[in-house]
Amino acid sequence: MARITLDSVRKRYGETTAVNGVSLTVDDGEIVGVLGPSGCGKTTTLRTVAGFETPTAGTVAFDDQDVTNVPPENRNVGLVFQEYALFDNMTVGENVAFGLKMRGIAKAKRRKRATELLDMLGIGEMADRDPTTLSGGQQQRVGLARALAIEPNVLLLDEPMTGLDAKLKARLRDEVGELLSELDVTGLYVTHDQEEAMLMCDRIAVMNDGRMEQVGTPREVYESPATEFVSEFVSLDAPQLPFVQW
Amino acid sequence: MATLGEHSERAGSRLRAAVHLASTAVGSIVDPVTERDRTRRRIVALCAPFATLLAVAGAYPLVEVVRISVSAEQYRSVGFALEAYGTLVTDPYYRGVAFNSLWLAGGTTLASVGVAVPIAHALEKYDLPGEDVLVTLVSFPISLPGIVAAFMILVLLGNNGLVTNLAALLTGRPATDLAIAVSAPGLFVAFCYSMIPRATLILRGTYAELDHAAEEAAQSLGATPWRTFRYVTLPQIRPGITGAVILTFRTGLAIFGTLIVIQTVVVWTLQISRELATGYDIQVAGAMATAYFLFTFAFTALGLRYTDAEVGL
Amino acid sequence: MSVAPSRRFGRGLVTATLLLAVGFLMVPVVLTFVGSFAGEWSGVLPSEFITLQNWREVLGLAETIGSQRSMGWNAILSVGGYTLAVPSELIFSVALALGGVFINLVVGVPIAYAVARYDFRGDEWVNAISVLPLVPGVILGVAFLRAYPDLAGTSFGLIVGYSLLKAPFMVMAVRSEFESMPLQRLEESARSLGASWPRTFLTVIVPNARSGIVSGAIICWTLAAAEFNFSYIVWAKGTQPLALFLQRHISNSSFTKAAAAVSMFFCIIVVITVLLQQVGSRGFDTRG
Repeated sequence: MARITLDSVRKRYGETTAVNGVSLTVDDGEIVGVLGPSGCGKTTTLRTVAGFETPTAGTVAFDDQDVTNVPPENRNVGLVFQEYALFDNMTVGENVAFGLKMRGIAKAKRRKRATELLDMLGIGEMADRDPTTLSGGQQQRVGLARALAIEPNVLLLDEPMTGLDAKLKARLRDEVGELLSELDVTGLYVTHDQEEAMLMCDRIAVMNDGRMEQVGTPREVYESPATEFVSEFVSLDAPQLPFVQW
Repeated sequence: MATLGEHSERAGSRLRAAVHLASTAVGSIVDPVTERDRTRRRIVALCAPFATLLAVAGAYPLVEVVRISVSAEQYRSVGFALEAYGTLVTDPYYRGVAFNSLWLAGGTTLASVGVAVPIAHALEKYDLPGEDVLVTLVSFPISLPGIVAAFMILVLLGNNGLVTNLAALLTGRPATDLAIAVSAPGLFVAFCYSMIPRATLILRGTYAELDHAAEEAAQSLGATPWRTFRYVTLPQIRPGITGAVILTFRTGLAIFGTLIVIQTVVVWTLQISRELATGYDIQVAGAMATAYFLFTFAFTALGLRYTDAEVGL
Repeated sequence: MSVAPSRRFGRGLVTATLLLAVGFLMVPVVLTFVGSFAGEWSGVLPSEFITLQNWREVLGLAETIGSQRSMGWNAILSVGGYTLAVPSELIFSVALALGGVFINLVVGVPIAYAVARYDFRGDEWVNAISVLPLVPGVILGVAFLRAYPDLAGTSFGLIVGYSLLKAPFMVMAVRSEFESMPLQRLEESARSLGASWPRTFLTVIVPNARSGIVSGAIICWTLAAAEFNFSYIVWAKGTQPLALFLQRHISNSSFTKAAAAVSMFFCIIVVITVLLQQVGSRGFDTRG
């Protein structure tokens, strides 16, 4: 795991500016939630960290290494999408072992690692199944196991719970949250669901219109919003947060 | 007022800027820095094999055909002469051939699309028993080359044909008098045999995208089926019909195998083959090929540009 | 109250048109197939059933006068009195079309991916060029004769010509498969896991699109095997492609024998179509 630093990152597409001077540090082992309405630039920020977008200006660094122009395949980042994006031409186990295979790790070893991870996520018995036969929640666990298998510098989660039903969401949220803190993962968690962000993240960055409005602990953001936007966005339908948990 | 010097200077700097732009574009593909450069390089790599095939098997041969068609000599591409085109324009024989191609393809296009509309309508809108089978049967002839379509017409309308002999049985006249396979009407039917399935395929795609709510609304307001079709369905499928007409007409012009079996009307494609078979007049054949290419290209481009045609292949 | 005529007759008329069209298209097909087993075909219907003589002659299994009209067989193995022979013409045709399909795969799959996956300047043009047939077979044939006088009539010339003529069908089949896949997510997942882009394309994207690729290949194969116009113009000598073999029978053979030749072609088409539907409904499992 590593410390992630974004320094004055700006991303323009022709006339429109998607990210407008974002600076953010994610400490080693910390999970930062990026919260904001759709179109605020949070996904672009995440894709910049992953390397799928090269910023127009500014730099991205992992620990002290500048990775701004490093292609995604050499960055060692884990990605989890809302749409799972599992490889249907491989079994569940092969999906999880894919990253290790790319790193030239021997077959026996990568199978062992994949089984461990799947066990940890409670779907160990599904290693030989076809991913298309799994339920949505199970597929999302496979996606998570696949991203964790490479021991990434940073785990990037792009709305991973959206699209799951409420009950499953609550259960997965607790389980995954626990697992991530147990594994001491550095993570960037993009979501538009503030409850999710408050429950799963150590700190929250609220974005609007390509800018960071406020970065702070969930309590700080909730109790002393820095701008009017933050106060409006956070207070909206977030009546009783289970603060007891912290 | 700008002086000449200023002009050339401005032009020069514009040129420098263009060269710079081009060199950075090439540079970013050869030695990419950003992810966007790398993506651009990927797109170039993905398109390269197709572009190579298109250049080697399409563009170069077509250019060679154009060159020989305007050559001053018959078998070498030298100089520039429009003799071959002159022949095409002035010789009434070639005008007749062009006319044959146009009426045959045009007439069969109208007939085929005209039949394909009710076929597509029935297949897509009515809940018919065995619909899948009907779709398969209507689509089957798409895979048949023109020579087989011609044989199908011989089976129906030839000397041994089913329809011919039924007619002979009923009228008492000899079958050979009634056979129309090897005649212009027979050819017309043979063209339709190839074109109806294709037109149906295109129109079924159009029908599939239809907004059913509007039709149901019209029906619930008491519109008759015909009026519903005329005022609600037809306006929606009109772009699809225009598209089908354009593509089917192209198909009709390209038909050749059918004519090798039923050689009654000389059309453009058949004449091209005859130029080569008798005397190997590659120059006139080249001019005919060029004219054909330009005509279909212009026809398709104008058709798509100036009508509401939708071509969803 | 009177009922509008379209309400009373419209549906019936439209359905009747459909059934008539199906009859027009299918009756000769059925009759041809039936007639291929007949000894005599004059009068309303073929007669003197059932004989396999036509099929045997067409396939070259029986001696005929002018045996060059039947399908040539090459003895590949003679042991004792038995000879194992293969229909050389059929195999030649299969191989020619397969060669075209191979080129189609190499050129068609990448460009379909470029169009389906990326937005770039001119992508609509690239799309249009890749799915619209450039020229019909006759015109391309003339162009080949002019540009490559020595190569045009060879197997190589035929393969290259087929591949250009049928490429649009491959691009369309593969593109629609790609469009149904979460391409960007798949590509980004694989790359974030350390796969280089070419490796991602070959080990993740292509295998995931296999059913579209296989159906594209089957469509292209069928169309290339049946391509008559181009073959007729450029073919010079040697073993004939299937379409020319068909034409030879239709133009020169007895009606029943031509029916057998055409029926053999129907059988190939039916087998290919069934195969295609199997692929479409289940997909090919390459995992083994």
